[in-house]
Amino acid sequence: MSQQRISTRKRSREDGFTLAEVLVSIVILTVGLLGVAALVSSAVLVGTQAKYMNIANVLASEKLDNLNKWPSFVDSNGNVSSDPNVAPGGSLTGPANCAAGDTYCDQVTVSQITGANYETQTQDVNGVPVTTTIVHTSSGCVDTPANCGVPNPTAAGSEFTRRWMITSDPTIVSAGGVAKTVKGGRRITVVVTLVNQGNQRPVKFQMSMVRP
Amino acid sequence: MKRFQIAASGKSPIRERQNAMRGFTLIELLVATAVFLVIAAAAFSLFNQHVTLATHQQNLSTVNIGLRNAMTQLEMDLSGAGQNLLSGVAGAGQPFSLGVIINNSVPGTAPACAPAANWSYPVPSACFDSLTIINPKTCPVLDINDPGNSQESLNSSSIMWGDDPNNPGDATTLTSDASCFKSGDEILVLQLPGGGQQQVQCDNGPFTYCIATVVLTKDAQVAGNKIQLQHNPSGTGVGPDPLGILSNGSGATNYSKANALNTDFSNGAYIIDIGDGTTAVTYSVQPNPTNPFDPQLVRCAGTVCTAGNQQLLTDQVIGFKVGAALWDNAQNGPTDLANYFFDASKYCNDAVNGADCTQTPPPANDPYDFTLIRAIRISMIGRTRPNADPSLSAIKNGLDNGPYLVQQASVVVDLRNLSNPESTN
Repeated sequence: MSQQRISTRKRSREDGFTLAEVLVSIVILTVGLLGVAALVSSAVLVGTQAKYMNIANVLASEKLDNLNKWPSFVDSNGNVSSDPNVAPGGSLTGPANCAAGDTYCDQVTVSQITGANYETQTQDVNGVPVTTTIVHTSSGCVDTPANCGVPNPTAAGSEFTRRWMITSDPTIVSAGGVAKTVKGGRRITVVVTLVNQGNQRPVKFQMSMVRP
Repeated sequence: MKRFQIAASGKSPIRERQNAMRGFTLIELLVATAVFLVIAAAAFSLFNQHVTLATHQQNLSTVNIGLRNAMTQLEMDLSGAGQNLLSGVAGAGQPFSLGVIINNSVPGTAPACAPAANWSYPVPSACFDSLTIINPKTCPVLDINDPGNSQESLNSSSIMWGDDPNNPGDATTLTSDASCFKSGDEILVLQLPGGGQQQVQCDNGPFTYCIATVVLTKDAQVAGNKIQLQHNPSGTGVGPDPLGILSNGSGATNYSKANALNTDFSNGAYIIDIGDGTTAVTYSVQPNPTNPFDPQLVRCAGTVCTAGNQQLLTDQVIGFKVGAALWDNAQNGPTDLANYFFDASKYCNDAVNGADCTQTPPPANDPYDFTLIRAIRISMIGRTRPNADPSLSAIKNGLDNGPYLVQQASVVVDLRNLSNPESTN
């Protein structure tokens, strides 16, 4: 009898895994695999976000330079007059897409397949907001989609909204905490937001410059 | 389960031990292998998807880095271009600048832009513009001062007489000034309207200014309290404009007010040394010498790109277009910078209001007027190497159906352009 018990104990040690052991190991394996999947998925999301941030960065700096071309004047009495396109105004927040006739907002569609940009700009032309869309095609045409013979931008692209705000006589705070007002200057701040982000991480990029 | 049944059967312990120590059954092995395969396949599929995405992103990042490096270099070169050529000149009045020359390959006129076999892109073609940044020599600006005449005829006389506007007739100043003007330098002769006038009479009508270019055939000399500058009045040999300042890519004279060699330039017109072109910088797309399927954006020292003077900025560029926003000397309103023109033959005073530079009578019919350029927009398309990514051979991009990913980037650069009274910076 004693021999039998020993034999049974030995046998049980040499047996296969029990159901509980198998279940536990499956759970551990599943948790591990889920962790790896989450890591991969997160890496893809971060990578995609970085890609869009990069595009947003280029779009923001392009806008700042584009606005910088508009002249402003300071006469001998210190009075500032400027082109309406760099007049103080605008807002950094608003609806996802630009409101019609908003001259402080424009849309850029980057085609996910072609990589081509469709840039829609609304500018003040003789007091009237005029909206134009420009595209660069593979045939070397840089013009409106109609003139280049290509379709208008579609929802298949990544759509960015660019908003900017212009303030006059901006106050600049130096590293030492000293605030200074730049008389006659203006600060332009551009915010680029990815509109149709879907399940991706949000993409929002902000950039400022101070100019005469 | 089966093993417990054996143990309960009451057979000898030795047999039981043998049973207990036997290996897995074939079924067990098959089931275990199947389970493992399912899990491994899932893991591999996940990994594989990630590798594909990571490869795409890495390739696109490489394209992005190349484009951004090129853009940064362009910004650095362009932002200093177009300085006031009359800076510091006594009585010069309005500023004048001529900093960038753009050669547009206009679709419909230039060879077609379309991928050929193996996804090579033709160079030159409508895909690619080029631009040259003139970095003028920093010689003092002289003014025409002919001791015997009130005017200087550039196409009949080989001698042009100059003086220093800031220190007229001073021997020491003239000797110092003359030492800068060397044989081979291209000279810009510029007549601006005087006496409160808006326009000046050139060979072919009244314009906002008249310019002509000549090339010095001898180093400048001081003679009789003046500086003597010698050139070839017929323009033979190197021609009057080897730097291409006034002529487009085809070599034709660009616009009516220049090269106004027939114009008699009055005393007081400015003489500006642009240099012999060695200080100019040209951006152009050239085929890779070792791989004809790789159009490369290069930065060249001089006005023409050769194998010896080019520096690679980025490769696999399939679009490089240069547009310019223009000042409007006609000043018909505040909206003169609304559009970018990607065709230099459209640069004329009233272009922004829709004037046809070739049809409208003077003073508007002066196409290729590079002095009007205020801001430059460069639009580039880069791509990953064709067929570099096996997962893309089945996928064709929507731009040109090629087996690669494409990325577009554009940049706007404001020139330090003071050529217009509207300008403040």
